[in-house]
Amino acid sequence: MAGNEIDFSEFMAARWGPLYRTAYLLTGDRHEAEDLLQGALARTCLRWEKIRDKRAADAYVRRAMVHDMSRRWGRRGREVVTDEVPDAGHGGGLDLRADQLDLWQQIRDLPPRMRAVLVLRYVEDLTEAATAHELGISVGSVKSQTHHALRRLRAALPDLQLAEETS
Amino acid sequence: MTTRQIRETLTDVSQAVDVPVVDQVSFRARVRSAQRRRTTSRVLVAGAAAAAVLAGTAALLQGSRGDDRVVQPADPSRTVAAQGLSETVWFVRDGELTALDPSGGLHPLGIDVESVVGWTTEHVYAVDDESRLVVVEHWVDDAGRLHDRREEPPVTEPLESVALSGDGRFVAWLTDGKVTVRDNKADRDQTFAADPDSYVAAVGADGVLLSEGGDLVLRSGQHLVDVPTVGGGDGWAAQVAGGLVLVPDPDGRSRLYDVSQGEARLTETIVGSGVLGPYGERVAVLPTDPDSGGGLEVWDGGETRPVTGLGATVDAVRWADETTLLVSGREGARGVLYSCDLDLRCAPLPVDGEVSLVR
Repeated sequence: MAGNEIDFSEFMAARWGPLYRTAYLLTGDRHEAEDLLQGALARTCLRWEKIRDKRAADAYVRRAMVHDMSRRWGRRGREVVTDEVPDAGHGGGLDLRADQLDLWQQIRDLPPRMRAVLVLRYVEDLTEAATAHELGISVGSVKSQTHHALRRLRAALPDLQLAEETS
Repeated sequence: MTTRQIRETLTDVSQAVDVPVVDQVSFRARVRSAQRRRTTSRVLVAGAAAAAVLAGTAALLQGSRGDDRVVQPADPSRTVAAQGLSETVWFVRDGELTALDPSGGLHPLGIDVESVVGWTTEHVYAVDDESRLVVVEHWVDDAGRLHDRREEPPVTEPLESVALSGDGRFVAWLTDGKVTVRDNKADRDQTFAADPDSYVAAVGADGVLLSEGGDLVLRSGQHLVDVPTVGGGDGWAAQVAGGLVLVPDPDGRSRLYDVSQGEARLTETIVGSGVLGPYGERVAVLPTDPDSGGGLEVWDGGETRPVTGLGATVDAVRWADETTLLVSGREGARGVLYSCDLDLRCAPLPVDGEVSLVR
């Protein structure tokens, strides 16, 4: 099926899983991730006819999630994320190595926009320019946010030797 | 070891989390709710952008409820004049609201902020790390010492977005589904309901520039101007000044639209990511392709010229006033700040630490 002939329900069925995983990385909380994604998909559904290239709809949903996340952050202030990372192997927890859990916990503690930069650059594999576009900030800001994020992670986890990559 | 560790960890986290099934009932309710909010908001805009409420004003920026005046002495180790600065400039340094005066005095104010919204010759506006507006009055005494006094902000709730016009006259913010535009000169507020997906991109004498669910619109009391974006852009980084709207689009170009006649008319397409001057007269342009080898340029009346004297990788650019450009960057691991004049020559400013100009 050609990209522009995809209907919304097909898109949602196919992309719910990957987009939920992105939402989880952005929020660090399962319930918030589901809520964030549902809201973004609801708005995408309403605008579906206006999205010219349906193959780019992932990016539209991602932008809606990032936008919504920054609005939520503004409303609630500095709220502590409640979905604590459980010990590896704990029932229902994330099956990860201890060092990965440590790093994930530190990433969750970053300010939302900083965390979003890391997710878009290092998981979604967006270039600095594309990340800037998705977040509505300049390329320079992406560089700056990346730098500050790595600096914080280095300070929190001195055993890590994180070097910056450029796109 | 590189950022590969972050990449792998985030990827593993995303794969380790259980994906819930779609709650179709809840989703349909969300769609209906979004539909209702959107319809309501559009009716409000069409019927009476019109019905904009002229709220009563509170002279909150007059300092009547501010803290006692406090003199913030300059860091005594700073004696080098800030070459090229005619006014005090503001930025975030190591997480703290900080001023640099023209004599090179660095003034950390002891206020933790996330970003500086903007400043005038009398006030600086910032956002703290709980998204609340911070307003600080500042002035220089006869002896050239900078003073500051924190004031009660015009809004105390956490903000979803906020902007200050280039001339400092208007402040606009979004909170709880309402956009408020404060006219500091006329001392009045205008408030209207906003589309649920709105974001205040910029404000100026021409109106408030809102990204509404992906549509970029310029709203003023009586008019609504749709401004195009290219390539699925949301227009979050768009700016307005002097009857012009500048839209940095995702295709690596910045488009300048004349909005002075009630519609958006494309007047210029500039290659790069642009930052509009405070009165719309010129545009600082950063290359969007980091591999292009291009550097910072300034577009001025149809001509684009390179900025010289920068010994750093440029991170961010901000107009301090209509003739002075602030540039933050990085020399190796060290953060640096430059001031550039209209001859497009730059000089480093005596500031160290982690400096952020980002709004």
